[in-house]
Amino acid sequence: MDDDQRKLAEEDTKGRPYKIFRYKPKQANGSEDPVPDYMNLLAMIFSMCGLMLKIKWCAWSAVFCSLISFANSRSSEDSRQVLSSFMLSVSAVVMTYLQNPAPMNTPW
Amino acid sequence: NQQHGSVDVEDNEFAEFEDFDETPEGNNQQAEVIEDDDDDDDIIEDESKPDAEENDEEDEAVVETEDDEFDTLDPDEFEGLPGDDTIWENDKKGKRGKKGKSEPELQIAKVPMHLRSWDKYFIEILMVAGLSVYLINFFIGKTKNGNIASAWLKCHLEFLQTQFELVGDDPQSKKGESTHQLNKESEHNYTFWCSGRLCCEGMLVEIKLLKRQDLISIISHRLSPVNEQVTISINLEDMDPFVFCVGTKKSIINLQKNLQDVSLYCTERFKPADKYSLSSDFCILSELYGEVPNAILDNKITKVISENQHLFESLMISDQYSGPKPNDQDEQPGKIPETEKVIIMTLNIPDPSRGTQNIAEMLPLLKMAIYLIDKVKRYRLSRENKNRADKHRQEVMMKYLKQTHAQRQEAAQLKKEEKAKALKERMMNEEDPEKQRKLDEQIHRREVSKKNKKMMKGRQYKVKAM
Repeated sequence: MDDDQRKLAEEDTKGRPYKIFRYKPKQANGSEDPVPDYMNLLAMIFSMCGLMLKIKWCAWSAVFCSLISFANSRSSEDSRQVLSSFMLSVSAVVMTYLQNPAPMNTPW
Repeated sequence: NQQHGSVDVEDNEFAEFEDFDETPEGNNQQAEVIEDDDDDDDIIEDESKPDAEENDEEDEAVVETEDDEFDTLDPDEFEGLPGDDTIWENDKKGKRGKKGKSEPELQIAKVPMHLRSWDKYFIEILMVAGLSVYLINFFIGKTKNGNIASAWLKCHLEFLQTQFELVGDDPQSKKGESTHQLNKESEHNYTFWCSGRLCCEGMLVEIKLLKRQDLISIISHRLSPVNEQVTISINLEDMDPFVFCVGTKKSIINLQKNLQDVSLYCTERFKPADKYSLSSDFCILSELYGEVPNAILDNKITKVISENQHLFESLMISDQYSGPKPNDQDEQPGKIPETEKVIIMTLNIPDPSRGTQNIAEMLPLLKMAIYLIDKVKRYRLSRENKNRADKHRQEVMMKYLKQTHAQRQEAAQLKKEEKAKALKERMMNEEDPEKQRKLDEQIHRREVSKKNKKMMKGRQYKVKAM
């Protein structure tokens, strides 16, 4: 038990027969919900493709993937990773349209 | 940049190649505006266009298509040719007439070619629409989940305040004061910690909702429906050694497959629970059948479970709880896991789409969990069952020790071999022959002593055998 828990436990034994334990959050192992991490990785890959190979639909799907990973992210995770993947995908979209402003051609 | 007809093609970097594209039609001057090569339709303004915009074009659209040397040609040469001279004459006059007057000061806004028609960006509009739909659904789903979680808290807070000293704990805050608030793990996961009660270290309530904030999960939930669950896990201070589970068949099979302690200690098959006036969907899985289920499943418990069958998923009481089975790569299998004494109850949340007020139906089940704390604390196994249980635990402990022993032996063996190898290498690299001889002798002596030890062991076995 770390220090403040021991202090809490000692105070209690004086007055009350029970002890108070502080909440120790379990380490959020990835096995529980792999979706945010995979989506983050996918967003990074798509935005790299969008930026390097100038493929427009890659840039757009990068934006979608980073949005999905934001929606599923755990609050214990720091939001910088999600924010950086979001900025990267938006910059991929902007760069692809700066280089070739023509609209995306419809696949059909 | 060469002025080409009335429309200024300034920002097109391929302007100098424009002349190549032009067809050498000398006589009928058409104001051809050559688009960027990637725009698929050319705007061709010819004299036949009826609308107003075309009229101003016409005044300016006297395109000087021929070079200077054509001026010197004598029009009579072309007499009778298909190109009608009179038009030639008129044009020349027209052009000459123009030069005297000052060019009209008409400025056309420099709008880049591609931004003229928005309907070409059909897919981009679709993408932006998809993003905004996803965002709108994110906020709606987020508030819905928030409402369900706070509805659960509202129904149960009062009862928990009577039971626990610390109700709701924020791990970040230094002071251990009650926050009376849920901790938000993610948009669909909330936790609530209570502590400070007799014979119980603490109780963690985990509310796992559907991912309403994620459009894709909503669609996948439609395809394969999933239950929203509340998991109540209570850490006990001490209890008699037994492992017992009761719940729906599916959850019992799940527990036996996934949890390490249940799979180790509850080796027998599960049994139907109708003997204990529970419905036939429920089953029992216990390390010690007979005495333990009878003691735990008393009238109160069975009454509450049968009244809320649709909410009750599973209940597990174990003194050797060590979490889910490690998949082999994670931890070394031989390491002895830390165990806890726990009561874990999983409940289903009543369908929130019918309104959050029926979440109050879950309160009796939470009261049952608290009642179980005292019951399990007071419960004592019979002598015979206690010995059986202790024997089980020793067997499991021996199994772990054997595994760790084997690993320790392998590690020691490896170390020895590495030492011997290092010594040999040092001996080989040694320049000084004197030191090299000493090292060689040392290695030789070690090998001889090893052989003697093996022979001594062999003789001892023979003496014992005689």
